[in-house]
Amino acid sequence: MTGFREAQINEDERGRTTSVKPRCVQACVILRLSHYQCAHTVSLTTRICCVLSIFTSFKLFNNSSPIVTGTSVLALKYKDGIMMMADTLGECNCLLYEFFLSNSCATINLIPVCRLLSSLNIIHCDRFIRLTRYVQTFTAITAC
Amino acid sequence: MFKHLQRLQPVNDRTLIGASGEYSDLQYIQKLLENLTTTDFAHADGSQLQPVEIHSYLSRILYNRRSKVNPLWNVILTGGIDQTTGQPFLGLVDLYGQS
Repeated sequence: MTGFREAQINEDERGRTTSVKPRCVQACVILRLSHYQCAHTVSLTTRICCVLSIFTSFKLFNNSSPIVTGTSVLALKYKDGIMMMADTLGECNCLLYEFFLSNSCATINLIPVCRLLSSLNIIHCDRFIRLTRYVQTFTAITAC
Repeated sequence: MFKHLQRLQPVNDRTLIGASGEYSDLQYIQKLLENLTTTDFAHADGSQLQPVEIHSYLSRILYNRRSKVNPLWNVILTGGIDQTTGQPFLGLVDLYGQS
């Protein structure tokens, strides 16, 4: 196993090379028999290919490290429609972690959104004002 | 750092999606939805996909990719107005396909 990990090249479609996380390697080794076939059929949609030197035609699927991420999207459902709001900032190094107090900058769930809602009454906070510079999208759909 | 990433996108006249997480995965999803809308338009029957149907489609896409151990790293909100009932709809799908 250790030899495999060191021999792998993980390249995304932007051509960056990163190392494969051991967790994903294990998952893919376990599943390699079932994924061997679909590696050819859906190769158009693969974004990360890894060719092992031993399994020469085996392509490793994983998407374990997001690169450019955005933060939470706020959406409200009210009587007459839906309102959605998102900022336009994409961050490479998860620096938006502190803004929305979410558990992970790559995922949102209802809890950070609720925290965001509760934090809207501290709009004079410096961090939020800095964030609002990037808020330019404010879209509403109302019932006709 | 990118300051002008558009993370909200209208799918059709009554549906809007917003996504967090990996931006290139969102672009892939936008491409899929564009194809879906084009196919729907090409039927030329005057009907559009409802927000519930878009939400269901996205949850299947994300669950399918999760089952291949190659998840699309997004959490997607789907909102819109149902055409027949006029009721607003809001749905959430995460990268495991949970909705």
